[in-house]
Amino acid sequence: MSKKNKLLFNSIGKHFLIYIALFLAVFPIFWMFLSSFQPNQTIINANRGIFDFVPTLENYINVIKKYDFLKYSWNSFVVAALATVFSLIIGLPCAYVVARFKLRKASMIVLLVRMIPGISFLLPWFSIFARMGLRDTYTALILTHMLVALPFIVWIMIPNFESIPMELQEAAWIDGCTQYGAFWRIVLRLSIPGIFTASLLAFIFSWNNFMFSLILAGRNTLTLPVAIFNFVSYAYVDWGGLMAGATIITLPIVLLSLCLQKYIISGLTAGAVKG
Amino acid sequence: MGKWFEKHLRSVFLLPCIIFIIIMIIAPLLYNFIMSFTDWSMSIVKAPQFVGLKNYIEVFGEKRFTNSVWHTIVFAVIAITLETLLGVALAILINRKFHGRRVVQALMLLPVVATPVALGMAWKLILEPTIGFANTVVKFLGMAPQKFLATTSFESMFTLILIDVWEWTPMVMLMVYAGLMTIPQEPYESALVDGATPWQTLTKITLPLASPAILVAVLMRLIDVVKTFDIIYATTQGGPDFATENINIYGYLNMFSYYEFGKAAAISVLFFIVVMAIGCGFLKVKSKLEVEY
Amino acid sequence: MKKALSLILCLVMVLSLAACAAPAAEETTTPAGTGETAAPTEEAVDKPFEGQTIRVILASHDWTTAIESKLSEFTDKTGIKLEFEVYPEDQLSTKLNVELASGGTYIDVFMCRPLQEVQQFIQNGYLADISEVRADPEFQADDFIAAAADSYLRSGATDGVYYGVPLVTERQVLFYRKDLLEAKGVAVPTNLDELMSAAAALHDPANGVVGFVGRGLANAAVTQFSAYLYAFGGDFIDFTNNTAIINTPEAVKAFTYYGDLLRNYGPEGVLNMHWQQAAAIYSTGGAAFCTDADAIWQSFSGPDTDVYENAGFAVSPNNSTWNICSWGLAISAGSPNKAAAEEFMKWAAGVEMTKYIQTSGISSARNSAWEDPACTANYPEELLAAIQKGNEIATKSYDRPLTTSVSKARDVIGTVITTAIEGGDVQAAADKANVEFQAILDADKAAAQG
Repeated sequence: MSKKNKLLFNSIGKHFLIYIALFLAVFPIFWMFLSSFQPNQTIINANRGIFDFVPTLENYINVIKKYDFLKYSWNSFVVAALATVFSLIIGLPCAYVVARFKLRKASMIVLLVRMIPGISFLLPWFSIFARMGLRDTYTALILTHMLVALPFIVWIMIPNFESIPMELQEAAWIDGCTQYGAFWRIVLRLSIPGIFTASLLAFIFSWNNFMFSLILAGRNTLTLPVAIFNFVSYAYVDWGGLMAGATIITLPIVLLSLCLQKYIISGLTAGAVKG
Repeated sequence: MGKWFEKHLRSVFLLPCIIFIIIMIIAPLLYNFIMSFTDWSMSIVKAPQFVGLKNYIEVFGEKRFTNSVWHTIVFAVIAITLETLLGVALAILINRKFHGRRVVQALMLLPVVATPVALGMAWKLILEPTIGFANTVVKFLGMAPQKFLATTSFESMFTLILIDVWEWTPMVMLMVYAGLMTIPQEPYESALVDGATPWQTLTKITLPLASPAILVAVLMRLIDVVKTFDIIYATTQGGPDFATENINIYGYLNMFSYYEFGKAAAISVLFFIVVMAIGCGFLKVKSKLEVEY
Repeated sequence: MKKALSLILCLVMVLSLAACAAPAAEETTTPAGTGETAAPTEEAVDKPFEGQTIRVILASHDWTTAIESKLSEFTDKTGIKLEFEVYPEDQLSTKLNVELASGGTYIDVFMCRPLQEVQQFIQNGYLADISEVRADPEFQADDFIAAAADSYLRSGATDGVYYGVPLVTERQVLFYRKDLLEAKGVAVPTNLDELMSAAAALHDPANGVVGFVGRGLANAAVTQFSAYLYAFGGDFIDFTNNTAIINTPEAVKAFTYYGDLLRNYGPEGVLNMHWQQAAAIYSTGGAAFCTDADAIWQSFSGPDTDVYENAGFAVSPNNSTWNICSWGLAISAGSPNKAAAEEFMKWAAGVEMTKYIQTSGISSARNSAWEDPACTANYPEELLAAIQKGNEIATKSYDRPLTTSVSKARDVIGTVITTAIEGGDVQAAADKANVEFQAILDADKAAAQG
């Protein structure tokens, strides 16, 4: 084999593997999307051909007619957004001092949250929140979702803050800035891309949360994943409707991450490399 | 005021976050810990009875529990091995310039960020033995249709592992990819001068230099993979015949299907201790790496 | 700083313990709206509950769909506002457990399943005594099919206290394909031998039709397997001495029969099939026979399916069907609005509403609805005949072991079904399961007494 051929072969091989991986990664989601445009009777017919496809919007019309999904989307949005904002307010200063003073133990507490199996929260939380009159309120949902969002923010921001050179902060002190002022005017400003990433991820994982919302939400605060999941009904499995529901639940997140993928990638990889 | 603030900056910055977390998790943790020594059917007319270590003894004597531990370990070992191998390979592939790299990265991300509940439903449809697309493909290739999740053999477990691999390999890939980007050019240049083969370059330069990133990725996955819940809950709920039941699912069933709160609490306490141990190991390794780095 | 932290910690601990350790008895106010504030005007006499709000939690079920559009009529009539939520089975169960275990003060009325969770709920003190509802002559409690109504009694108790009312009943029926049977000249099977040979005759997987489809997923299959168990003369429990009897010769024959039927003439992947998967196969013409509950006939061969034209129905082979109450309505013991909740129960499970709902094809628990031709007009003739025959002949009012830990027992019994379908050693599996099942029964009995 000549060298040129070998190079070409390598290049195709490399691309080929990547595109196979890409296909495998995307296919299930694509299939969900495709199925959501098919009538249920086509989906459950085992004898249909691979390429039989009768597009229909019926599934979406049913979902939208049956569920006030604008309201549920709004609920999901409010909960995820406010949980993110409040997590930023308490998480950023925390991440800063952890990074600045190397407080490993404190970061351990944040990691702790990720380690507790979620189901052990359900009963005590409901009990407490109900007694405080917070059942079916945004407050309860936001507080619990903050527990999902906070570790992401702290975890992503620690290396981010560590990468900001101390000289910059020291220069600010010399100029008469307080420590607090340096944090506010210099550190935060330099970290805006990182903060953006952390917020995005916190938002996505809060949006995706199912169990906490199921237990603590009620008629007024049901979030989108819980509300749409009602499609799994007792007497009938409407695969088409389910897939339409699943698509509606995921679509905002998928669009968000496609548009802002650069930030998400740098967020997911935080902690893997320093700085 | 300003002075006090400045003096106590560390506490002022740290405490709100730490206190919030402690308030939110202390009650569930304590509650579970206390309840793990009681016998309670979640009754509101019969108070929990203190039974000492009975729940723990019972749990350890149960075949279902030991099986679920075993399943958790098997799941973690196979899933993480596959995710690491594939993730590293993909990271190396993607760490070269080619057309559409950003689009590929963005799309590869979808399994990680898409809502797990929705993904569970999609997988259930795809793996449905009679109407699912997976068997359509299998038949199209001329093979005997597979049962996937519908069997007590290891196949159902392996299918779940593959779903986990599908969902999280992109994450490992991206973390390793970030590590690869920090490797300087010099070692490669001198390797080229020395006439090293691509394989040598890979094993002697790329992998050793990327190993901190790989290790962190593995440990991060380890914490999450032993807690796997969503995907099993959405597809098999531990069945058929407990073949896919891991510790988390077993705890859930004890709490919400069998009304044995004490036992469920004991399971979650034990479980928490194990995950904690993994987490501590993770932090140790991580700080050691950072020193070496 | 350390001191402050430990102080806060202690405080939180005390607070949280106080909040969770004693989930029982605590006065709580109504979640929304309070009663008895309205001045005694003329209207208030008509609507004594004007201004009250009750929270109703329902399952994703056709019954719910049918009543949903009528809910505003209830509010117009009584002045009681409804705050209702709907969840699918599994989520409903989790949600109810959490809320009821914390006192149930925020739930008023909810749907629950007599054979699945009601006994545990009664034992846990979650359910209110609804004798007053039944005492209302307008409610006509005698009209209920007795077996269905009695599923809301505490099992084994003789106090006659009812903890809920039945809404939906089910019997097992045999679904068959008229066209396939005709083509091969096979008669509708009336006993188990005939079913086996008919399934064998029509089994033609090469052409996409299997002989028989049914639930094979261990836990879920127990309820449909039970009819076969009864047909062979077996049962789950010998109630005279609370003994597990799932390894008797009759039971082993039943397990083996059901396993053989599904293994030899069933579809691929039957081990993971709940009724939904079975229905998917049957409704698209993939099977000649199926046995499942009549309540979900529309999923198997309703007007939307491919087999509607050729849908046949018959009573289960050997007349072995059961007649059970699958869903009912109960009131939370912690409900602060009991009177309003009772009002809702009277309305939703009353004669008028029951008849209305049955008209849309949901099998009710009231004799009057079954006797009224207008309420059964939407049922295919053969199905109605099979149902009425079932109502008449069924001797068992349970399709799963009658014990508190139903779920656990089903899981244990399910293992034998799995073994049978896989063609393993049924006797050995049954012996093993019987020991485990006995342990569950003993524990349940101890819990009920202690």
